[in-house]
Amino acid sequence: MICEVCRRNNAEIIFKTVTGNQVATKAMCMACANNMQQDMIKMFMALGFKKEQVAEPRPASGPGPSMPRYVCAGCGRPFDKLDEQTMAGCSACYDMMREDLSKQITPHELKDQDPDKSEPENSLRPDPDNTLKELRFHLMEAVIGERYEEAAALRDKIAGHEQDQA
Amino acid sequence: MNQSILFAESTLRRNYHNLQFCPQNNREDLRKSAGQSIGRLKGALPGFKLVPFRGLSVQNLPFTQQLLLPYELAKLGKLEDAYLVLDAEKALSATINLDEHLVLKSRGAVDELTGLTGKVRELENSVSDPNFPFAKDEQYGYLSYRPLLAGSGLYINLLLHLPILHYLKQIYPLIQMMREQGLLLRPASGYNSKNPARLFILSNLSSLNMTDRQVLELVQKGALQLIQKERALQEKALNGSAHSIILDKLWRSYGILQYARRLDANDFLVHWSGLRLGASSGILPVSLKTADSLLVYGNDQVFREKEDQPNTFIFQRADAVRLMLSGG
Repeated sequence: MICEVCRRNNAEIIFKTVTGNQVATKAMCMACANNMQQDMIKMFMALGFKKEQVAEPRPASGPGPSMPRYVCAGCGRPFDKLDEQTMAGCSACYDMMREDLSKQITPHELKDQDPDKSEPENSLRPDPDNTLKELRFHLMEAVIGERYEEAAALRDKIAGHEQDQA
Repeated sequence: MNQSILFAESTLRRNYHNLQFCPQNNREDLRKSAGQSIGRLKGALPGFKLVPFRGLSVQNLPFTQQLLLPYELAKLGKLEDAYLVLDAEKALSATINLDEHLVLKSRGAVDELTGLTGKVRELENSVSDPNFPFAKDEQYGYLSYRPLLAGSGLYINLLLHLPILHYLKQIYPLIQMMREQGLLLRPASGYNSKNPARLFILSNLSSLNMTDRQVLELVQKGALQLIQKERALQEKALNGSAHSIILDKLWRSYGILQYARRLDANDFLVHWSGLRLGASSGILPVSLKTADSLLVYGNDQVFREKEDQPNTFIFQRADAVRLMLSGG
């Protein structure tokens, strides 16, 4: 597991914080955990705890901890932003990030499909209503496969169809 | 078979609805995922062979398996509860808990791509179990640990050899061009490495709201563009003067592979790339089939199975390559 603060080192400690009904977990490497400890020590001293009641503060050198924007109700995974590095922990994480995911994915990729006209996602069936499209697909396959005689025959067929349509 | 495309792979990425996603997070869920998948795959794959990755690092995978994995897995170090499942002919395979819970794969020549996709769909039907449904969402389709990969889960990978484009530093503008078309073109050995073999992987960026046919068309179209550019540059680079630098490099690579007594993996891949270019263009007296069969020596894994002395691998590699090329 990668540290969720620096996203570079391996995580060695998991912190769990409870705020009201919200539970957040954060996996951290030792360096980031030490930095968080220093911030907490400073906070305790600011609240009036005596110096001898807390450990000797060391200078912080790294990013401080922060509460995440979302926490998944299923796996407890926290999220700050959605990008190519974001990892979902379970199916419920998608409910947390649905709004951000809709913004990331361009509108044309999410247009509503007409159930009468939509093709099943796993359709490899040829399209009988569009012979030209089929022929072009087979031509591309033949060229990639370096079956040039077959490609030439397909090219002639396509030319014939295009003439008929014109 | 296309000379620039070594092989094509049709993959389906799946996670289980009731378990936390990969990679390598919740140990208990990883074990459950492995149990569910192995059980179904045993019935579905003839001549089933299970390769556990316990304690192995990603670098110890067979070379072409390693090339096709996401880069961030290399940072995970040792893998646990992860498996590779192969059928007897190694044409159908599945990885368990390497990135998704289950990635079903069908590999073959690029002109069999439609057939490969059909086979991986049949495999999916064989392993599907209504008691352990895959994670699916009405809006986004099958879910991935990477939210931007949600969709039908069909990803086509083509392994391309583009030596002249790489040599002339033409690849990075092409990466951008492919991205604009919805394709991912990446160096096979990582963005920060020198990519000694000059191998690249082309795949679709997304499978959201796309039929299988649309995915195939998209990837094939992108591949054609790359192959045509590589072909055009090869003709200019290799048909010119007999004293050209590139021609000299091809013959040097041939000589080194035929006669070297020590070959580390990086050295081997650099010269393998030259050998393959020479074989595909008919300049070197080596068949493309022989050149491609040498790629298995791209990392140390093949020697690790027989011998446990890493310091001998450079000699074993050189011996094996000389034997294949009938060198002295």
